[in-house]
Amino acid sequence: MTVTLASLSQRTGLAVLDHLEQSVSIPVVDGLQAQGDLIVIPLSVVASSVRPWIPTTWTDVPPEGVELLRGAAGGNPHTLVADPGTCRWTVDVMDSDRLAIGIFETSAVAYLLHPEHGATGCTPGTYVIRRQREHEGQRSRLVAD
Amino acid sequence: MRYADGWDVYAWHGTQVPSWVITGPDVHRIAQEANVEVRRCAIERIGWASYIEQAGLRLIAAAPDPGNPGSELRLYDMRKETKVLLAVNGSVERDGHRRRYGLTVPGFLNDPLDAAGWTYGLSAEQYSLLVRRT
Repeated sequence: MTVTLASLSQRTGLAVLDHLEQSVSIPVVDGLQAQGDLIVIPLSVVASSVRPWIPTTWTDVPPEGVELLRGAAGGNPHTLVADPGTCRWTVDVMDSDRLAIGIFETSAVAYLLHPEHGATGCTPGTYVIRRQREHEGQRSRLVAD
Repeated sequence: MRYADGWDVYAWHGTQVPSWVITGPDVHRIAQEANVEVRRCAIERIGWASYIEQAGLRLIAAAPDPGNPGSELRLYDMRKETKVLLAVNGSVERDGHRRRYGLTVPGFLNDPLDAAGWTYGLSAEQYSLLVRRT
Protein backbone atom coordinates (compact mmCIF):
# COMPACT_ATOMS: atom_id res chain seq x y z
CA MET A 1 0.00 0.00 0.00
CA THR A 2 1.24 3.47 -0.85
CA VAL A 3 1.97 5.51 2.25
CA THR A 4 1.03 9.18 1.96
CA LEU A 5 1.04 12.06 4.40
CA ALA A 6 -2.74 11.68 4.64
CA SER A 7 -2.60 7.94 5.42
CA LEU A 8 0.20 8.38 7.95
CA SER A 9 -1.64 11.24 9.63
CA GLN A 10 -4.80 9.14 9.81
CA ARG A 11 -2.95 6.10 11.18
CA THR A 12 -1.28 8.02 13.98
CA GLY A 13 -3.93 10.64 14.71
CA LEU A 14 -1.25 13.31 14.28
CA ALA A 15 -2.35 16.37 12.35
CA VAL A 16 -0.16 18.01 9.70
CA LEU A 17 -0.55 21.49 8.23
CA ASP A 18 -3.03 21.52 5.36
CA HIS A 19 -0.77 23.34 2.88
CA LEU A 20 1.55 20.31 2.70
CA GLU A 21 0.96 17.88 -0.16
CA GLN A 22 -1.16 15.14 1.40
CA SER A 23 -1.69 12.61 -1.37
CA VAL A 24 1.73 11.91 -2.91
CA SER A 25 3.75 8.91 -1.87
CA ILE A 26 6.26 9.77 0.88
CA PRO A 27 9.85 9.52 -0.38
CA VAL A 28 11.84 6.71 1.22
CA VAL A 29 15.53 7.46 1.66
CA ASP A 30 18.50 5.20 2.19
CA GLY A 31 21.03 7.43 3.94
CA LEU A 32 21.28 10.67 5.87
CA GLN A 33 18.27 12.89 5.98
CA ALA A 34 17.27 15.95 7.98
CA GLN A 35 13.85 17.02 9.17
CA GLY A 36 14.26 20.56 10.44
CA ASP A 37 16.40 20.46 13.57
CA LEU A 38 16.63 16.64 13.65
CA ILE A 39 18.91 14.49 11.54
CA VAL A 40 18.68 10.75 10.84
CA ILE A 41 22.09 9.15 10.35
CA PRO A 42 22.81 5.50 9.51
CA LEU A 43 24.62 4.18 12.59
CA SER A 44 27.52 2.97 10.42
CA VAL A 45 28.32 6.60 9.46
CA VAL A 46 28.87 7.68 13.07
CA ALA A 47 29.80 4.33 14.64
CA SER A 48 33.09 5.78 15.91
CA SER A 49 31.29 8.33 18.12
CA VAL A 50 27.83 6.85 18.81
CA ARG A 51 26.87 3.46 20.23
CA PRO A 52 24.12 1.93 22.36
CA TRP A 53 24.75 1.33 26.04
CA ILE A 54 25.19 -2.31 26.95
CA PRO A 55 22.77 -3.67 28.05
CA THR A 56 20.32 -1.73 25.93
CA THR A 57 16.64 -1.34 26.77
CA TRP A 58 14.69 -1.43 23.51
CA THR A 59 11.06 -0.37 23.15
CA ASP A 60 8.83 -1.45 20.26
CA VAL A 61 7.54 1.53 18.35
CA PRO A 62 3.74 1.51 18.96
CA PRO A 63 1.18 2.12 16.17
CA GLU A 64 0.67 5.73 17.24
CA GLY A 65 4.43 6.34 17.06
CA VAL A 66 7.10 7.61 19.43
CA GLU A 67 7.47 11.32 20.07
CA LEU A 68 11.16 12.07 19.59
CA LEU A 69 11.31 15.78 20.22
CA ARG A 70 8.95 18.67 20.67
CA GLY A 71 9.58 22.22 19.45
CA ALA A 72 10.12 25.31 21.61
CA ALA A 73 7.34 26.23 24.05
CA GLY A 74 5.70 22.81 23.65
CA GLY A 75 5.36 23.20 19.88
CA ASN A 76 5.35 20.73 17.03
CA PRO A 77 6.63 17.19 17.70
CA HIS A 78 8.82 14.99 15.52
CA THR A 79 7.32 11.48 15.68
CA LEU A 80 8.78 8.11 14.63
CA VAL A 81 6.12 5.86 13.06
CA ALA A 82 6.36 2.25 11.90
CA ASP A 83 4.18 -0.81 11.35
CA PRO A 84 3.74 -2.79 14.59
CA GLY A 85 6.49 -5.33 15.21
CA THR A 86 8.91 -3.86 12.66
CA CYS A 87 10.78 -1.16 14.56
CA ARG A 88 12.36 -0.78 17.98
CA TRP A 89 13.81 2.26 19.66
CA THR A 90 16.20 3.05 22.50
CA VAL A 91 17.38 6.14 24.31
CA ASP A 92 20.27 4.18 25.87
CA VAL A 93 22.82 5.84 23.66
CA MET A 94 26.32 7.12 24.16
CA ASP A 95 27.38 10.00 21.91
CA SER A 96 30.72 11.79 22.25
CA ASP A 97 29.02 14.93 20.84
CA ARG A 98 26.01 14.52 23.18
CA LEU A 99 23.56 15.22 20.39
CA ALA A 100 21.97 11.79 19.96
CA ILE A 101 18.50 11.35 21.40
CA GLY A 102 18.18 7.71 20.42
CA ILE A 103 18.76 4.84 18.02
CA PHE A 104 16.13 2.91 16.08
CA GLU A 105 16.35 -0.43 14.30
CA THR A 106 13.77 -1.11 11.65
CA SER A 107 13.09 -4.14 9.47
CA ALA A 108 10.52 -2.29 7.32
CA VAL A 109 10.25 1.32 6.19
CA ALA A 110 9.91 3.66 9.19
CA TYR A 111 8.67 7.24 8.95
CA LEU A 112 9.40 10.53 10.63
CA LEU A 113 6.36 12.77 10.82
CA HIS A 114 6.18 16.47 11.67
CA PRO A 115 3.26 18.91 11.33
CA GLU A 116 5.31 21.51 9.39
CA HIS A 117 7.94 19.39 7.69
CA GLY A 118 5.64 16.56 6.57
CA ALA A 119 6.98 13.01 6.46
CA THR A 120 10.01 11.16 5.25
CA GLY A 121 10.74 7.43 5.07
CA CYS A 122 13.82 5.46 6.14
CA THR A 123 14.73 2.14 4.50
CA PRO A 124 15.27 -0.85 6.83
CA GLY A 125 18.42 -0.39 8.91
CA THR A 126 19.81 1.05 12.13
CA TYR A 127 19.81 4.80 12.56
CA VAL A 128 20.90 7.43 15.05
CA ILE A 129 18.73 10.47 15.59
CA ARG A 130 20.61 13.57 16.56
CA ARG A 131 19.52 17.08 17.50
CA GLN A 132 21.02 20.23 16.07
CA ARG A 133 23.16 22.64 18.06
CA GLU A 134 24.24 26.27 17.83
CA HIS A 135 27.24 28.08 19.23
CA GLU A 136 26.19 30.58 21.88
CA GLY A 137 28.81 32.50 23.81
CA GLN A 138 31.34 29.95 25.04
CA ARG A 139 28.95 27.01 24.85
CA SER A 140 26.46 25.22 22.64
CA ARG A 141 22.70 25.36 22.80
CA LEU A 142 20.32 22.83 21.30
CA VAL A 143 18.09 24.14 18.52
CA ALA A 144 14.32 23.82 19.08
CA ASP A 145 12.40 25.13 16.10
CA MET B 1 1.13 40.78 27.25
CA ARG B 2 -0.14 43.77 29.26
CA TYR B 3 -2.41 43.77 32.29
CA ALA B 4 -4.97 46.49 33.08
CA ASP B 5 -2.76 47.90 35.86
CA GLY B 6 0.02 48.58 33.34
CA TRP B 7 2.23 45.64 34.32
CA ASP B 8 3.53 43.94 31.19
CA VAL B 9 5.82 41.17 30.09
CA TYR B 10 7.41 40.43 26.72
CA ALA B 11 8.42 37.00 25.43
CA TRP B 12 9.78 35.52 22.21
CA HIS B 13 8.96 31.83 21.68
CA GLY B 14 8.76 31.24 25.41
CA THR B 15 11.85 33.28 26.37
CA GLN B 16 11.22 36.39 28.45
CA VAL B 17 12.91 39.38 26.80
CA PRO B 18 13.18 43.17 27.27
CA SER B 19 10.40 45.11 25.56
CA TRP B 20 12.66 46.52 22.80
CA VAL B 21 13.17 43.02 21.41
CA ILE B 22 9.47 42.90 20.51
CA THR B 23 8.62 46.55 19.94
CA GLY B 24 11.74 47.89 18.22
CA PRO B 25 14.60 45.48 17.55
CA ASP B 26 17.47 47.00 15.57
CA VAL B 27 21.07 46.14 14.78
CA HIS B 28 22.55 48.83 17.07
CA ARG B 29 20.69 47.63 20.15
CA ILE B 30 21.59 44.05 19.28
CA ALA B 31 25.29 44.99 19.02
CA GLN B 32 25.13 46.61 22.48
CA GLU B 33 23.22 43.78 24.15
CA ALA B 34 25.44 41.68 26.44
CA ASN B 35 23.03 38.74 26.86
CA VAL B 36 23.51 36.30 23.99
CA GLU B 37 20.03 34.82 24.36
CA VAL B 38 18.40 38.24 24.16
CA ARG B 39 20.51 39.01 21.08
CA ARG B 40 19.35 35.81 19.42
CA CYS B 41 15.68 36.55 20.15
CA ALA B 42 16.02 40.10 18.75
CA ILE B 43 17.70 38.80 15.58
CA GLU B 44 14.98 36.17 15.12
CA ARG B 45 12.39 38.92 15.57
CA ILE B 46 14.00 40.90 12.71
CA GLY B 47 14.61 37.73 10.69
CA TRP B 48 18.08 36.33 10.09
CA ALA B 49 18.32 37.29 6.42
CA SER B 50 17.22 40.90 7.12
CA TYR B 51 19.54 41.14 10.11
CA ILE B 52 22.56 39.96 8.08
CA GLU B 53 21.76 42.57 5.44
CA GLN B 54 21.11 45.42 7.88
CA ALA B 55 24.19 44.63 9.97
CA GLY B 56 26.33 44.35 6.82
CA LEU B 57 27.85 41.01 7.84
CA ARG B 58 30.68 39.84 5.58
CA LEU B 59 30.05 36.73 3.48
CA ILE B 60 32.91 34.27 3.90
CA ALA B 61 31.75 31.47 1.60
CA ALA B 62 28.67 29.87 0.09
CA ALA B 63 27.99 26.31 -1.08
CA PRO B 64 25.04 24.27 -2.37
CA ASP B 65 23.14 22.59 0.49
CA PRO B 66 23.27 18.79 0.02
CA GLY B 67 19.80 17.27 0.16
CA ASN B 68 18.15 20.66 -0.36
CA PRO B 69 18.25 21.22 -4.15
CA GLY B 70 18.55 24.82 -5.32
CA SER B 71 19.35 26.10 -1.82
CA GLU B 72 22.62 27.54 -0.60
CA LEU B 73 24.42 27.48 2.72
CA ARG B 74 25.96 30.93 3.32
CA LEU B 75 28.54 31.51 6.05
CA TYR B 76 29.00 35.04 7.46
CA ASP B 77 31.37 36.63 9.94
CA MET B 78 29.30 37.75 12.90
CA ARG B 79 31.26 38.73 15.96
CA LYS B 80 34.38 37.63 17.77
CA GLU B 81 34.60 33.83 17.81
CA THR B 82 31.19 33.44 16.19
CA LYS B 83 30.03 33.02 12.63
CA VAL B 84 26.51 32.54 11.34
CA LEU B 85 25.33 30.02 8.79
CA LEU B 86 22.31 31.17 6.80
CA ALA B 87 20.35 28.15 5.59
CA VAL B 88 17.07 27.58 3.76
CA ASN B 89 14.25 25.55 5.25
CA GLY B 90 13.58 22.22 3.51
CA SER B 91 9.81 22.68 3.75
CA VAL B 92 7.64 25.41 2.27
CA GLU B 93 5.62 27.82 4.36
CA ARG B 94 1.88 28.23 3.86
CA ASP B 95 2.48 31.07 1.35
CA GLY B 96 4.79 28.86 -0.73
CA HIS B 97 8.11 30.48 0.19
CA ARG B 98 10.96 28.80 2.04
CA ARG B 99 12.01 30.41 5.28
CA ARG B 100 15.69 31.29 5.72
CA TYR B 101 17.18 30.85 9.19
CA GLY B 102 20.52 31.49 10.84
CA LEU B 103 22.56 29.12 12.99
CA THR B 104 25.45 30.48 15.01
CA VAL B 105 28.61 28.38 14.80
CA PRO B 106 32.14 28.59 16.28
CA GLY B 107 34.39 31.20 14.68
CA PHE B 108 37.09 28.69 13.68
CA LEU B 109 34.82 27.28 10.95
CA ASN B 110 35.45 28.77 7.51
CA ASP B 111 33.59 26.37 5.23
CA PRO B 112 29.76 26.30 4.98
CA LEU B 113 29.69 22.48 4.83
CA ASP B 114 31.97 22.21 7.87
CA ALA B 115 29.65 24.64 9.65
CA ALA B 116 26.45 22.78 8.68
CA GLY B 117 28.05 19.48 9.69
CA TRP B 118 29.18 20.92 13.04
CA THR B 119 25.57 21.75 13.98
CA TYR B 120 24.81 17.99 13.88
CA GLY B 121 28.19 16.80 15.20
CA LEU B 122 29.28 15.72 11.71
CA SER B 123 32.26 16.45 9.46
CA ALA B 124 31.76 18.21 6.11
CA GLU B 125 32.28 14.84 4.40
CA GLN B 126 29.58 13.20 6.52
CA TYR B 127 27.17 16.12 6.06
CA SER B 128 27.74 15.95 2.28
CA LEU B 129 26.05 12.53 2.38
CA LEU B 130 22.73 14.22 3.20
CA VAL B 131 20.18 12.87 0.72
CA ARG B 132 17.08 14.80 1.69
CA ARG B 133 16.07 17.74 3.87
CA THR B 134 12.48 18.57 4.76
